[in-house]
Amino acid sequence: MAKGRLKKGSPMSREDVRILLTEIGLLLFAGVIVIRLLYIQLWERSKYEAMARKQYVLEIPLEAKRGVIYDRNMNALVMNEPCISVGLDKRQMEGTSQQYAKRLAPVLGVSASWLRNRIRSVKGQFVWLRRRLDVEYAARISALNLPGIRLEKETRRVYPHHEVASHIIGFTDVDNKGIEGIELQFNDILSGKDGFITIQRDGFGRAVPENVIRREEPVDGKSLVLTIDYILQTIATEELRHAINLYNARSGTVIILNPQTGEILAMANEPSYNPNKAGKYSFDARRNRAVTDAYEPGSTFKIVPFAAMLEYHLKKPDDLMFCENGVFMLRGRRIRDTKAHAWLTMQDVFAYSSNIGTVKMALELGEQRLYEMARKFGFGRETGIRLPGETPGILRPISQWSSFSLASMAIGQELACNTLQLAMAYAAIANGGELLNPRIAREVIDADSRKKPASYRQSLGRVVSEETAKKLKHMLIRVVEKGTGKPAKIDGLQIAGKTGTAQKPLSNGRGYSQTEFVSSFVGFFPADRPKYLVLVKLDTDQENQWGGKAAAPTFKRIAQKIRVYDRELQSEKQFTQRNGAHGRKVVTQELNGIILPDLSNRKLSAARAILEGLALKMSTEGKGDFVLNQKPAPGTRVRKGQEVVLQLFEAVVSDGYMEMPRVLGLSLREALSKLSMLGLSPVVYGHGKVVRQKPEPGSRVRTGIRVVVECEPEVILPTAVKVGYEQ
Amino acid sequence: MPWDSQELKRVDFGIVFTVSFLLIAGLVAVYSATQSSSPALANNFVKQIVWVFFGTIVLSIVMTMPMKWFKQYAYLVYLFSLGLLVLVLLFGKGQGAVHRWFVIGPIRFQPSEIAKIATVFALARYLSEEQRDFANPKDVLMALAIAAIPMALVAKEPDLGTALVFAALVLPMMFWAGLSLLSVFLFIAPVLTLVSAFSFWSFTITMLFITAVLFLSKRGPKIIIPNFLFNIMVGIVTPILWNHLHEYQQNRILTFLGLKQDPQGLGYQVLQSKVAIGSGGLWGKGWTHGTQTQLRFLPEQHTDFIFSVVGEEFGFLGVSLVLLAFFFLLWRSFNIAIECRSKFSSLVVVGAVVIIAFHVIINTGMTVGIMPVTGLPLPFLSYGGSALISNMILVGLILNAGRRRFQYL
Repeated sequence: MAKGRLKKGSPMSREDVRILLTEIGLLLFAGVIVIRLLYIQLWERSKYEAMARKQYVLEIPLEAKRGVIYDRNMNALVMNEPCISVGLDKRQMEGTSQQYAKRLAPVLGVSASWLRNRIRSVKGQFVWLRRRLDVEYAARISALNLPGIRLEKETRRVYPHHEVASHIIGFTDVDNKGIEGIELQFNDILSGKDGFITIQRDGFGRAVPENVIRREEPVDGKSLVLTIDYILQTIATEELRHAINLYNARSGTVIILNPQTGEILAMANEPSYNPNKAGKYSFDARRNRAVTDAYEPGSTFKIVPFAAMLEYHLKKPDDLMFCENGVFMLRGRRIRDTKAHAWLTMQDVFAYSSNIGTVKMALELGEQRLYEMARKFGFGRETGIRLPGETPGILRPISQWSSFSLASMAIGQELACNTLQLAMAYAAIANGGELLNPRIAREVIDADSRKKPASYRQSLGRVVSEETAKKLKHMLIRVVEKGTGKPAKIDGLQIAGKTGTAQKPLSNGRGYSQTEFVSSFVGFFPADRPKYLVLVKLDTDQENQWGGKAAAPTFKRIAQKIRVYDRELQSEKQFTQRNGAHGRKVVTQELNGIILPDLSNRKLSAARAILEGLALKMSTEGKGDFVLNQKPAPGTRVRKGQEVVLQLFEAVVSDGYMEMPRVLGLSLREALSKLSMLGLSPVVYGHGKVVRQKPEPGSRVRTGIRVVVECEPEVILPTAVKVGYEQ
Repeated sequence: MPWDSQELKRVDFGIVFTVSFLLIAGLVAVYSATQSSSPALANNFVKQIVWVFFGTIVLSIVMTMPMKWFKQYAYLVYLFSLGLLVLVLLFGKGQGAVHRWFVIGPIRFQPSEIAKIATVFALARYLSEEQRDFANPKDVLMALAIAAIPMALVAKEPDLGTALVFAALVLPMMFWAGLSLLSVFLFIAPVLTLVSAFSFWSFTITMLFITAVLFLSKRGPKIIIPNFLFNIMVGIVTPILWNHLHEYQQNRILTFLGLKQDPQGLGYQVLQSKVAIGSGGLWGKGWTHGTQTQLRFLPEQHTDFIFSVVGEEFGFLGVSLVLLAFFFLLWRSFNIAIECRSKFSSLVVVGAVVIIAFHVIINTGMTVGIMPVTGLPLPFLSYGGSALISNMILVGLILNAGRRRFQYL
C-alpha cells in the first residue's frame, strides 16, 4: 500500500489510521499475553509449583505391620492376614464406568449400580472399589484385564477365635484402625507408623520408580500381651452361653480375675459377636456390657454395710440380731425376707442374705459411713480398666438421698455399678483389703521382640483392714457352706462367695420389674489364698431370678473347669483328699468318678506321679520325655484303676527339622499347646476342634515354621464334670 | 532468476532469521516433549526435522515464483481447494465422525491448510481489482462469500478452530482494501450481540452501545435501521442456533466463557498448561527437566501445547523471546504490506500476517487460559507437517512480496 507512505506530509490520512490501528491491535495482544504470562509465571508461580508437585509426586504408603494381640500364654487372639484391595485409576480407564461396573460386579460381589455410582461419585483420579478382600479375588480380577485396575496388597485383621474374647479385643475398620475394645484403646501402640516412598509419577498415573524423592520406612506396631488367659476365656464364654440357654437368660457377663494382682483373666458377655463380621451385629451385641452397663447389684452389695459394721467395730460376726420374722416396717414401707428368720447371728444375716437384718444394721451404721465405705470399695467411679466406654455407675451423694435411701442402698438398690466394679470390690476382700486397679494389658512387645510390662499391680487404697477382710472372707465362705450360695459349693475346693438377686428397675423409674431380674454370684477360691475370682451375672426371668438358682451353679461349673485347668488347684484337691475335713466323702465320690487332669506337655515323670496319686494305671505310646496327648481326654470322668494311655514326644530337636505332629481332632487349646511346645507358631482359623492342618501330619518341617490350623466349633454339650456333683 | 527478470530487492533477512529462530525453538521444544515418552512419539522429532527441511525447500520455491502467477491462478487454486474440502468430507480420515485428513502413503495432510492460502489468494485478487466499491453491497457480500464457503466446509469437518481462521481473514483484508471503520464495526457488532445474547443485561448494554455508535455515525436511516434490526435478530436467533452446535463445541465455548467448570476435559487441559507454565517461573526448569512435560501431565504437549513446554522449561524469559520473535516477524511482514506497490501483494501479505497472528493469538492465549481450546497449533513450533508447510508457504509469500515490493505486477 504505497499510497500510505506517499502521503507522508498530511497530518493523518485514512491509510495512516489503518496502519496505526492494526499495529495497536498487535501490540495490545502482545501486551495482554505478556501481562498474563507475568501474572502466571511470577505472581502465581508458587501456587502452580505446588499444584505441579502435587501431581507428579506420588506417595506410596508403606503399611506398618499392626501389632498382634496375645493372651498371657502367647496365644494369638488376632492375626494379620494378607489381603488385596481393589482400586481404579480413572485416567487409565478404557471404557465407560457402566462397562467397568458390569464386568467387575459379579467378581467383586457387589451390584453393578453400586459400583458405577462409586466410580462416578468419587472425585479425583483414584477410587477404591473394595478394600481388604480375600487374596483369591486377585486372580479373578486380573483375569478381567481392565486397564486402570490396581490391586494393592495389604493386610487385614483376622480374629481366629470368633466370639471368644471379642468384646475385649474389639475390631478394626477398613483402614485397620481400631474402633472397639483393645484395638481401639491401644490403637496407637498397635498401629505403629506407616512409612512411605515418594517417587515421581507420570501423567498416566504410572510410577516412575527410578526417581525416588524420599523414603521413610514404616515403624511396625507393637504387639500386646493381655492378662487374658485364652483357656479361661473359652471356659467363661462356653459356660456363659450354656447358662444363657439353660436359664433362659437374655444376657449375661462372666468375669474371671486374679484378686491378688488385679489381672483380668477372662471377661465374657452374652449376647456376643464375631469380630470378623462386626458390621453384621447390632450395637447391643458388640457392647462390652461388663464395663459399659450399670445395673443394681442387689444383695451382692451387702458386703459394703457388713464391711463397714466390722471395720467400725459396731458388730462382731457372732452378735445376734432380730430379723422380725420376715416382715419389717420402716417409714411406712414393708421390707421382706424371702424366708422368715427370728434371731440370726450377724454372719448368718449375711449367709442367708436377710434384707431385714442388713437394713437394721445400716440404720445403726448411718448414711455417712455407708456412703464412705461404698466409695472406698470403688462404687460410683470408673475402675480405670483400659477398655473403652466404661460407666462409672451411679452412687448419689448423701445430699440427694431420700429418707428411705439408706435402707435401699444397704441391700443394693438405688445405686448402680458395672460388673467389673463389683468384681474388683470383692477382689479387695479376697486380697486382704486392698482395692486394685484392674489390668487388661500385661506386656508390650516392641519390634525387637523386647517385652516391657504394660501394667503393674497398683493399689487404689485400702478399703478395710486385713482383719476385717479376713472376717468378711469367712462370712463369704459361710454363704457357700450353708447359706444362699450352697449351689456353688465344690467339695475339695473352699469357695467364698455371695449371691445376689435384683429386680430390674422399670425404665420409667417407678418401682421394679416383676419379670426382669438380675441373678448374680461373685466368689473366689481357694479361700485361704484366693487365686481366682469369678463373677457371674445373668439377666434372667422370674423363674431363675435367685442368685443361688442360676448364677451360683454357673459359677460352680466354671470353678470346676478352672480346677481341671489349673494344676495348683488340683494338688490342693489331692491335699484335701488326703487330709481335709471332708476327705472321706470326697474319696467315696472319687470312687464314682475321677476327673482326669490335663497331662499334656508335662514331663513323663510328673504325669506318672499325678496318675499314681489318683490311683490310675498308666501306659505309654511312642518315645520321649514329654506327654503329647492322653486318652481319655482331660476332663473325662474315669474310674479308679482305669488305664490312661499317654502318647509321648521327644522335645529335643537335633537338626533344625522335625516331624509335623498330628493335631487333627484335637481341641484348639490342645493343638495350640502341643504345637507351641514343639516350637511351631500356629496360625489359627476358627475355633473349636481342629479339622484341617497344614503341613500334613508326619511331614518334615523346619522348626519354628508357621503352621496353619483350621478349626470348627463343636456343639456345646453340658460338660461331663457337672454330673454327680450337685448336692 | 529463472521466472522473473524485473528488479528485485534482497531477501528480508530479518524475517529469515526470525523464522529460523522459531523453527529451531520448535525443534528444541518438540525434542523435549517427545524424548521421554513412548517410541511412537519419540521419532516425531526426526519427522519434524524432515518437515522443516521440506518446508525450507517449499519456502524457497514460493519465494522465487512470480507474484503475478498467484494472482493469475488465484481463483483456480481457490476452486481446487474447495474441491479438496468437499472430498475430505466424503473420504477424509480422522477420529470418530471427524473428517480432516487425507492419508497419502505415510503422509497425512489437511486440505484446510491449502484452503487457507487459496482463500488469501482469492480474497486478495477479488479485493485488489479496480472496480471494487465497498459502497456496493454486492461486492461486500461477494468478498464475505469467498471466505464463508471454505469456512462452512471446514466447520463441517468439524474443525471449529480452523474455520474461525477464515472468519478472521476476511475483515482485516477488507479493511486493508479500503473498507471504512464504521463498516468494520457493523461487521463486528453482530458478533458482540451474539456473545452477549446469553444474558439479558449484557445484551441490553451491547445493543445500547451499538445504537449509540450507529447514531453518532450520522448515517441515514437506510443504514441505521436495518443494522439495528439485524443485531436484534441475532440476539434472538443465537439461542436457537446454539442448540444446533455439537455438544463438544458448546462445551468449548462455555468453558471459554467461564460458564462451565470442566476440570476433567478442556478445563483440565488448560489447567495443566497453566501449571506447566506457572511452575516454570522466570528462568524455567531447564531443557528436558520440566516435570509436567517429561512426566506427561501436559496434554498434547508436542502439538497444541508446545508453548507451555517452552514456558515450563525456559520460563518467562523463554516464552518472552518466542513472543518477541513472533512480534518481530509480524511487524516486519506488516511493513512489507505497507510498502508493497502492488495491492494484490499487499493484501496477500496482510492475509498471511492475519493467519499467523490469529494462530499465535489463539494458541498462546489458550495456553495461558484466556482463549478457548480450539486446537489451533502454534506456527513453526508445534509438531505437524501440514501446518508447518502451510506456514512456510505464507512466509515464502511474505518474502516474495518483500523482494518485489516496488513492482506493480
